Amino acid sequence: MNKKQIQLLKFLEQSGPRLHGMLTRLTLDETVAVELMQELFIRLFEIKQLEKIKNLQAYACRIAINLAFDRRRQHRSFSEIPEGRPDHRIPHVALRLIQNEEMDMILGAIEQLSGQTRECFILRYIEQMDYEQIAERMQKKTSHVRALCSKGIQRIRQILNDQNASFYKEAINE
Amino acid sequence: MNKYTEQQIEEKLNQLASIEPSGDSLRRMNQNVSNIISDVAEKPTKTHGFLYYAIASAAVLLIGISLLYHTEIIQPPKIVQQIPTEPTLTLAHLNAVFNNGGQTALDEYFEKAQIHRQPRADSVTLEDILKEL
Repeated sequence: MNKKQIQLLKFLEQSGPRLHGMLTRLTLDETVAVELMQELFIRLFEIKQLEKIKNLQAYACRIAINLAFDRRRQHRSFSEIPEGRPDHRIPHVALRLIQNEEMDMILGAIEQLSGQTRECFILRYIEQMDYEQIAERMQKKTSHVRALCSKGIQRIRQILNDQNASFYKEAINE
Repeated sequence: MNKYTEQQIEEKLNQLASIEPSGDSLRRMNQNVSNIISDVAEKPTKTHGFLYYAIASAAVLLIGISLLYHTEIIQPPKIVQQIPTEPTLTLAHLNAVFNNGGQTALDEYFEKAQIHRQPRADSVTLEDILKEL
């Protein structure tokens, strides 16, 4: 085994479960999350000087978030369960929640956030990390992280309310 | 129309955050990713592929150069230098020759010319020289 393999296997052991959990939450699909984890590690392997990356965890997290939302764009209806397919892919605890359309709407709204705000928002509200931890990971000031999170939640609220208003108008027209 | 409050959104986000992958999914992920790390490492990457190609090309080039270096190249025949003492036949010479002995007096020049330029001596006749005059 070469150095890169050993480094990646160690990283998988340390951060794999956390990244996999985040991808499951962002895609609402365990199978897709496993596929994206594979894609993530292929991308990491292709980096020529992997050892020079200062914060591999932050770097991998950013790639994982981008992969999840790229997949979401490609398969808009990925949260729908195909007919005739056993529903083993969804965690039983979250089954009730996933079937709620609002969950998908929130993810759709998160998708519309810009790069840094989205990363900050996901780390704070979905990964439930402290502001200090996020600031350390993103190499920013805590106040900046707080501002980004606040901006994110306001934007999410605005997007959801706009969507709600358009649905309301459509319903009245019908 | 109901508007979302920040608190409602945070509640929904908390629900989203509570989703955890199953143990089976985690095991599958670990196994698949470990296999991928091993498999990808065994295959030559693009950089390695290029390196192999470059080494092979350089080796072929070196072999070619060494073969050329050790092969004796047949030298082309050298151009025979004209001897500076080659006799020249001028009008003055010809007049002198005719005055002194006529056609037989030219034999000396023809003999010399034959020594130095065999083909030219054979092809030049007295008639040609007289025509030129």
